[in-house]
Amino acid sequence: MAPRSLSEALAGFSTEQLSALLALREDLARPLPADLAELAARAVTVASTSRAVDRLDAWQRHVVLGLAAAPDGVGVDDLAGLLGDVPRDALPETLQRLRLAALVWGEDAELHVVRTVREVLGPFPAGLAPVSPRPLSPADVRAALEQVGLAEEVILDRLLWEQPTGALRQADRSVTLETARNPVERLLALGLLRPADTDTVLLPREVSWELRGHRLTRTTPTAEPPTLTSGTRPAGVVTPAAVGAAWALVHDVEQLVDDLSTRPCAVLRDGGVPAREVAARGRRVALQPAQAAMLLEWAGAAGLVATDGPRLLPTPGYDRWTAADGAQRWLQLVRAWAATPRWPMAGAREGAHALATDLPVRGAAEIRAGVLEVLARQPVGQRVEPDELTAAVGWHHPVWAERLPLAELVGELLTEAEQAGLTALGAVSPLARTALGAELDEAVAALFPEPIGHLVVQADLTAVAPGPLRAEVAHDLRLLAEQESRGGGGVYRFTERSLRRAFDAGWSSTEVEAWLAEHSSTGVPQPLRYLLGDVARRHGSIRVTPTLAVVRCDDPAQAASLLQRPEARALGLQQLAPGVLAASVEPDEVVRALQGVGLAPVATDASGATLTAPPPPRAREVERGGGEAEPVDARLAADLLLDRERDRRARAEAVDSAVDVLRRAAATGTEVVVDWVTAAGESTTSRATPLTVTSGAVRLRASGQVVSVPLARVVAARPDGPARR
Amino acid sequence: MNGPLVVQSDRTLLLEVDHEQADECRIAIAPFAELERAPEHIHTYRLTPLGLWNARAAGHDAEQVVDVLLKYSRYPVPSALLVDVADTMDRYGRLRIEKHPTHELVLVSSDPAVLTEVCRSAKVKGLLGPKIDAETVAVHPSERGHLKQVLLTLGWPAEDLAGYVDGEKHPIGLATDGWQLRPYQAQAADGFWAGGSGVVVLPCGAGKTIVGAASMAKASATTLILVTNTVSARQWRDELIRRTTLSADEIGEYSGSRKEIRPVTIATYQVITTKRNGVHPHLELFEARDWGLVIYDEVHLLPAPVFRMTADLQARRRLGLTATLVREDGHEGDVFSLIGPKRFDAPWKDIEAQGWIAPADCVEVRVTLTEEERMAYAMAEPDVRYRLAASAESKMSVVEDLARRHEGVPRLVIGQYVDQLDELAERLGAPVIKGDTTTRQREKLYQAFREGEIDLLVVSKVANFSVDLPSAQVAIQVSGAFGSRQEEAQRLGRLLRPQEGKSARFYAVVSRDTVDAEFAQHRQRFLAEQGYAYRIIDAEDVPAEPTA
Repeated sequence: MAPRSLSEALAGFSTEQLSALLALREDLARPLPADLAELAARAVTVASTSRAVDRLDAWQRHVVLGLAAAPDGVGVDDLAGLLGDVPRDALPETLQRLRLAALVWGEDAELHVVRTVREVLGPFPAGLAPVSPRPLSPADVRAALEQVGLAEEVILDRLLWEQPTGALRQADRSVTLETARNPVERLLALGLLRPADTDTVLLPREVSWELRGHRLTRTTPTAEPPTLTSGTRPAGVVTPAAVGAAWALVHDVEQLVDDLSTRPCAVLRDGGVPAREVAARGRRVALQPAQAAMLLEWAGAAGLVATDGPRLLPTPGYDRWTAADGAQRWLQLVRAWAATPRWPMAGAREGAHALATDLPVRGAAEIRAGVLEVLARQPVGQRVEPDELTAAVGWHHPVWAERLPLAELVGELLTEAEQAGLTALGAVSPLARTALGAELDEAVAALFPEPIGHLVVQADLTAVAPGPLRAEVAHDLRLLAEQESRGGGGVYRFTERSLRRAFDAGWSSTEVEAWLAEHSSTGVPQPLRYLLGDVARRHGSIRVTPTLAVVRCDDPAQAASLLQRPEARALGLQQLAPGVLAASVEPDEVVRALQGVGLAPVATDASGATLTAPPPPRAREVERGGGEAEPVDARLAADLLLDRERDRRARAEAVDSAVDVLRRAAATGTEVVVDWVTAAGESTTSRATPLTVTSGAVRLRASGQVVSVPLARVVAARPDGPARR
Repeated sequence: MNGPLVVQSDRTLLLEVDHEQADECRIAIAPFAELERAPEHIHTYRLTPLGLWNARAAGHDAEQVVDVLLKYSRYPVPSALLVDVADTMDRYGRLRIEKHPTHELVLVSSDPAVLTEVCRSAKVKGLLGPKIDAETVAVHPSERGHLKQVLLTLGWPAEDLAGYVDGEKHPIGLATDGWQLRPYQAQAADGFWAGGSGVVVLPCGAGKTIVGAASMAKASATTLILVTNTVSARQWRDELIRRTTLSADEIGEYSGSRKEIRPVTIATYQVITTKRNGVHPHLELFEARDWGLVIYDEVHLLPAPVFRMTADLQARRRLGLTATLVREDGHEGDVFSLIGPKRFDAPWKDIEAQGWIAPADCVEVRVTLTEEERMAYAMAEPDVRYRLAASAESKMSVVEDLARRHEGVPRLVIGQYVDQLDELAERLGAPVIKGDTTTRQREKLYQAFREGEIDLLVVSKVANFSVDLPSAQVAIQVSGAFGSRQEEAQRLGRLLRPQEGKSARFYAVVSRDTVDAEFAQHRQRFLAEQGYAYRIIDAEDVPAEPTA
């Protein structure tokens, strides 16, 4: 039998259908309704309905518009006529989908759109007025239209597609063609406009229908999503280029974040990084400012950086991340990006602060997922033009196309996608689908470079890493040498300064040599050995001890030159013995001053031990995400809901039948067994004879006493006999 | 995927030279990547817009470049880099300068958007004439060179297809009696001739003059040759007389001392750039004849006024000769747009491997200063420290030791400070050439050195440029000007003359723990980057130095 309401329709849903509904409209399952009636009630609230309508694709939305514009109970054939030139075969499936979404109910012969859908779509769905009480025939309309001039056409045009009504004082005045003094009056006289009330005129539906050439909307969407047609690139070219980009992303993020270890970054009050800082940090690792801002956002999304008070620092999560292998590191970045409620490119826009707490794009993760889904559906190598992609995304999410600067957002996402290797050379890569959770193909994962631990050290004092270095090797090398070139490999240069830095951090000359011997595949070239010797010899040849401070020079000539300097007076330096100077300021000031004049002093504590650098600072890890709710398991929710429904029915039936038993027993005066709950809340079972049963209570005589029990407290009643349990 | 190349995201290419594919990879990337450093194991090339446009000019397209990168790269190449390469290369030749029957010279593009972008730039004001149609704009013929410069800075380098005037005919042939063009010299001349105008890059000693002579023979027209100085001008003249059918009468010298204009005229940069009362009085030279070919020697030193004059010479064939396209002043773009794209390039080491240049062995000798010298150094003002360190007395005996150690082979002692050189000359009993030595005296001494009459010569930095010292085998640098790359290349060039079975030795004597040693480090870097073996020894170890 055909259902007579949405509730009836839902009552007839199978578990599969119910789980489909809950999957389509997750908000209905959160929290899970007590029963189907509540489900039906919640499904027709304006909030839930409008959300469901917003999530329709362009084609489904078109069908719903048609249903809303049609009178209630329209048949599928009339609907098809209203939808314009559309593939008729696509309709049944679409209608079924709309029924599952609880937006439409009823058989094909008599379709009903949920009342709130009409509310959501407004009084004139698709800009069409309701069916006129006395419609003109199409021939009459055409005849009348032949009599209108340019001025009238302008008015008709204005009322054609969106709002079919216009304000007009005394709209219900009576006019004839003879008495008409202006275009509106002419239209009223011709019947091409009619008064809706005293102050409103309306373009009758049948007139509009003729004028718009029997179309529901200006452009009729296709039933299938638009395809990308800009040609393809060979997968053999796209795949390595994509992995190259993916690896570059990992590498760039690492460089950027690692830099924060040594130079923590001050953050603004809005939690963001000042644009100047972003640009400067980007420059250090050869990134454009916009790129650097974007990557900082990525790092933030993946929990690699966090603010610790007024500073932005790497997290312990960063240390774990650097230890993972290349493909995993990339996956972690990309998945975190896919899920983040932030819009990284917003931080890269002019005047914005990367990592600032405001979120300029609502529903960022949803929009990103929408775009990525379209990308992931494309074959590998499909070229992606931003316009085409925007059109495809707009088809799936017509609301975005209407309300958001979709072209701009898609453009920004494509920039990110290209940067991350989801597209490469402007074409979809095999990495695209992994962003949304698909497994990374093993053959593709194998293309990610394997970290290496050896270097090529050369006579020009460079160390070349012919590939990505293992994290700990890279870390040491960055201390020992300055990085000059970045990418798949790295070029590092040993300088006096870099080696001095290592000595300052507590390395000894022997340790440096041992490290080089271990990691260099080409030995230690003679010029590097000399440089190391030079630096080691000079390093520590000046020592500072607090007296306030004592400056000791191993070399009397150096002490003499120190005393000679203009800075000597400021430090209050005086010679104590050959090569031993005293200073009258705090030691750190002395050290700074000596470094300032290009010397390499070593700071020592009172016992004379060399002070080494503390470990790099790390921020506390923070919980990420939280904004997004866990996805609903629709199947589980449907099962649970049906269980509850069965329970409720069973309970209702149990009470109903108990009342029946009591009534019959009261009529016949027979004894029954009653399970009931006392006023104190204890379950009790009594053998009793019901005397009267009213609408709220039953009077029972048990063991010679008469008690009155509210029906609500009666659990069950059965004819006298052995207990069933 | 296990290629020899690591492509870096900062546009450098690291080539592992011991890799089995290294040689074919080197040949494949040479047309579009510039060799930046060539130390012993890993060579660094750089992708620059100019390099990529040079490749485009030579007929390579982006597809080939991308293929080469993908083929030889060890790791997947980031797509951003590939896209950038393709985009950059695509910019060359979108604009062309062509001849036009009525408007004489026009700028043509099949891409109206590019033409519009360029025409709207304020920089081209006054260079372009009226728009003829959507794809053509008239060019003022006098602004052909200037326009090319501007278009390059706008990032749309134009291809100059407007051709050249033939110039005044003059028969020139190569007199190949007892010698022949080396294959790479012939290739270089052919490459230049096919391209019309452009630059040939060859290391010192690889015979650039001969490439010039071969190009002149192809042109067989009156030729203007611009060189750095008078000594170099005379060497060109001698070489041309020896290698071509030209007689001494046909070759004129246009310098400070002589102003001859002949079918082949050799002028110095200095005389051309001389200014009197705010004007260049010798500009007439360019108009003096209907030159068919202009040759620029040492194009990396071409002074700015010559660039300006060259801008007006765009209808004449121009050949630039140089050992390096790298200019210390960063005017590489002007060379590209005014002289022309690179037409031939051979890496130093390759030519060396072919046996044309003797390999050099570079040795840094560290001298420990005496206590007194160190004290004097420590007390000195910063601006005189270098001089103090570079001309330290302690260096003298070391130079003497080194000179003695290599007794019997041709030796040069090179320095910056006249006092130091005079003293050394006296102690070594050798003649000295410095700024105030007359040209005649210099030529006499060089001649004697070349012919083996003297085997030890002390020279100051005036000897640096374009002077042929074909038989020097040991050079001892006692002081040098702040480790400039130019200078190092030149000095090493002194030693890089073919010499059967012998290797040249380059000593640099430096004072330990002074700024002199810091400069030595720059030199070390440069030389190691050029692929030369580099050692450091202590002065005390000089007696143990091998002599051959």
